[in-house]
Amino acid sequence: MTLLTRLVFTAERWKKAVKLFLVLAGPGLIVMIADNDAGGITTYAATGAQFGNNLNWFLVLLLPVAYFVQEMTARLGAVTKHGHAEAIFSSFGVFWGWFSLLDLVMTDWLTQITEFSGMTSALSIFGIPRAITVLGVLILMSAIILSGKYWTWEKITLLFCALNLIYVPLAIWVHPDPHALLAGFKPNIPGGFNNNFFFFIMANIGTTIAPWMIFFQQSATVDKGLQEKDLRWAKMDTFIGSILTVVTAIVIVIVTGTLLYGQPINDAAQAAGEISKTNRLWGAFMAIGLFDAGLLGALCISLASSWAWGEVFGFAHSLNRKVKDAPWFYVVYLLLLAGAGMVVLIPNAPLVLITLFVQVIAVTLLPSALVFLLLLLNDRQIVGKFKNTRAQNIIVGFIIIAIVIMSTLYAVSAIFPDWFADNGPAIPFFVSLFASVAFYCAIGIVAAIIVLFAAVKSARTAAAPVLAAINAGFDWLRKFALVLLWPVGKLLGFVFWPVGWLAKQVGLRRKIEDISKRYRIPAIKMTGAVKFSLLILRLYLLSLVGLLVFKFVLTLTGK
Amino acid sequence: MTKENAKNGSIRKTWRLKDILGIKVLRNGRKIGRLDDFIFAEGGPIPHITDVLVHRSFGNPQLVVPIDRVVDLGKNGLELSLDQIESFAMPHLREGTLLVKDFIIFKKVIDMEDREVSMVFDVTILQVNRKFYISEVDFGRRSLYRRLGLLWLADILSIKEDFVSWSYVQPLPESIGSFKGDLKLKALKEQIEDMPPVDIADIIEELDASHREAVLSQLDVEDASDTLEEIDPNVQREILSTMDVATAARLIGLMTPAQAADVVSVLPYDDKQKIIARLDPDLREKISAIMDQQEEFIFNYATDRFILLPADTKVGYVEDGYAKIAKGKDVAMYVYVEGSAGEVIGVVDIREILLADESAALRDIMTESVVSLGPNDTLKDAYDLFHRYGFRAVPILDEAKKCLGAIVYKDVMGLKHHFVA
Repeated sequence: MTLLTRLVFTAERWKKAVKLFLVLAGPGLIVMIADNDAGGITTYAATGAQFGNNLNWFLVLLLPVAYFVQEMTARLGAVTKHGHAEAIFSSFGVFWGWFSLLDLVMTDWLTQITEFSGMTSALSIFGIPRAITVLGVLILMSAIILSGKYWTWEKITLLFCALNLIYVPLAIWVHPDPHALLAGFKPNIPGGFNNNFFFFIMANIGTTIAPWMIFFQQSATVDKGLQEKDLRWAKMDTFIGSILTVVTAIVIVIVTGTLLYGQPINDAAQAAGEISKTNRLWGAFMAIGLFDAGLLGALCISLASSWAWGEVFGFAHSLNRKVKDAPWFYVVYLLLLAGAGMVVLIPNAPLVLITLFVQVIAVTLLPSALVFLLLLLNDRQIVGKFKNTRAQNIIVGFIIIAIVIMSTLYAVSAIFPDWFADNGPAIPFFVSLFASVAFYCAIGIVAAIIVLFAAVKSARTAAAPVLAAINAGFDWLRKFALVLLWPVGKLLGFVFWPVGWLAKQVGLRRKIEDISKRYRIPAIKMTGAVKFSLLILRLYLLSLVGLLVFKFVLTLTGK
Repeated sequence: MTKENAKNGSIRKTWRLKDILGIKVLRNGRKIGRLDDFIFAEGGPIPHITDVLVHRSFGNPQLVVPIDRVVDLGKNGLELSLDQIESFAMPHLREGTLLVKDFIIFKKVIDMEDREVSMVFDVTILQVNRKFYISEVDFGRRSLYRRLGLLWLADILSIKEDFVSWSYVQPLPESIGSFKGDLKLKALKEQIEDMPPVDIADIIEELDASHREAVLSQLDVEDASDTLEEIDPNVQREILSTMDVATAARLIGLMTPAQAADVVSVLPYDDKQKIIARLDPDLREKISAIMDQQEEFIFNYATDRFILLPADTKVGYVEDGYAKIAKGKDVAMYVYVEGSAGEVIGVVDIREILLADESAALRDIMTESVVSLGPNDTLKDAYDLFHRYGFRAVPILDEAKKCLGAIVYKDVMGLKHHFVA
């Protein structure tokens, strides 16, 4: 082969690879860029204003965090051809299924409210009234979704993803100080390790991995129809996406770090407003970026919920179906969307409270979603040869523990702001930190002892009554939860009844796939590790409930 | 680039893949998508196309349409007869499906010694009525220049089109995919001329008619002549009937009289006369003699260059002097043993001589019952004899057992046509 031929050969191979990538890319890019939603932009804008470019090094660390978690969802989706909600139902049973589904839909819906709030406040900088924004967004989103093609949705969404990169030229345009910029990539702790710093670290991690992302990417991978052989490309898709998400984050930090360093910024829209005072065009860029981020977030998050509902109830749930063929899928999507839009229009809606609530609820869901992901990808029966390698398990295990601790502390800080406040701490930060760590260690030790007891044959008889008591306790809890859920179910039925009636009148049948004919993900193999993880999850949830009750009591007693 | 030769209303066209990819795909004259790729299957001398892959716009699933649905392939596009588009929609191709553009184009071409020769730039799709084949591979330098947009340079350097028949390509590797797998050749292209004529003949027999001539014309005249005589009679007839008379006469002129007669006899009367008229007069005479008599006498095929030695000759003498004794002989693998009256009393295979004790006489080791033909035996008798015993040569003995000549297996059994019918 001559040198010339070799050159042409290499070039053609690359061309082909890029073409193929463009065809197969999508879910990873979208989920990663939509990850920088309105809430994310706010976090980064605030981080930049607070610390300048000093936290850039930390944002780079978020790249592997995002990649390793999301890569697993793509693998699980491509191999099982089923979404995450369904996987949890099939593999971990009804309790965890319902818990995840309801929690997901609730988180998603509340997050959507924050997206709408971001979009409305972004456009209000241009003087557009909220109602018009909400209406326009609703029409736009319906139009995108109703084409009956996953392809169309994906391409349009990718366009909005490209628009999200508007911050890159903006960051160059504002002429950041190159020295400060580069210095920011060297690990450093600006202003020392204090509560405020810790709060921002938590916030940034918290926005990097959200529960909806796990559900979304797996469902999108399934809906796109990716196969095992496409996994190489799906991984690259996710990897490039995670680079873009970190680049966007850093770029926003650069913008606010250059223009608003030292100013108190709590909100991206506020940041845009402040920047407008310096240069109207820059402010406009910032606002457009925020609007686009909110739009992307809303586009994806509603879909995550719709897909999850469809997977669990077995009604047709694909963007490739026409509205006529998958009415419930689209109805759920639009109802959630419209509902969130309406809430924003309510005057004096408690948006701050909602944001807080999102964090709390997300943090109840995140650990279970992550742990289930890890467990599913270790079950040979479910993923076969696409099982996690040991290295992946170690990396992901470490990431999951870090995310869970950080986001839990973030949620705790949201519930008890005094604990992490810089001034006037009710409980000093380090006390709370050590308390949290000690708390989890204690849970771990107790759980380990229980599992060890259960594992040793001779000790089994001795531990039997204890285990029985624990099981009975959980049974009782489960029944209690079901009793609690009953009115919720009735309420939902009541709310959805007119929709069903209407659908029936218009002749839209509820299309249910024949579940018995479909491949079902097998139940997970109950190994010691799985039992242990489930136990930890239960204890974790109990402790969160305990914290909330504690907060409730504190509020009631007026302290 | 389209070559077209319609014969008796049949369609025979060749297409360069690059020229037809991306053309419109029509259904009842209305565009439904674009031609994205062909699906093919191996088996048979050259791969045949089984389906067409139609790319549709706006994320509609691709169509996989069986090739027999193709109504027409032309400049306007590819017309398909489909009643329902939906039933051909296939979001994912079957496992193990072979794609022409995706799997073949821009793959490395490697030769038998795993050296990288070039890369595939294009392939030729051959249409015979409603069947489609991959007939040729293009890995020439001209296409390299075309790819680089330097076709003018190729013109200046007078680099010619360079297609190689698919028959030179080994079966594709199991693991072939979009990026994996190379095209391996059965030989190096420049080595094709060095291949034994029999092997080339095998390849040519498997080729499509339009490519046989192409391959033959790549060979020099002598090789072409050798190759032609090795080809199956039916194929010979086809090749000669499409070849122009001058070329045919030149090729035949290089053959021995027996071979020439053999080849000429398969031709229809008119062609036969035309070709014979152009041959060298001496050869012409011999050919007509052979052709006239071949039904009757084997004698025309006999050679007098065989080894005949007295029965008392020592084995050691034959062994030592074999090179001298066998020099110029047509039948060197047998030593016929002569009695005192000059009659043949036995035969010894040269292998037996090599194995025997040096001091033994031929008489001691010879086989006494000599399978032979008579001067009045026909070609048919010779054929039967060879067929039955598998000897490589048989002597012709008269009534007194005197040896008149010997018949070489190849000279009789090579003349397939007489007994084919």
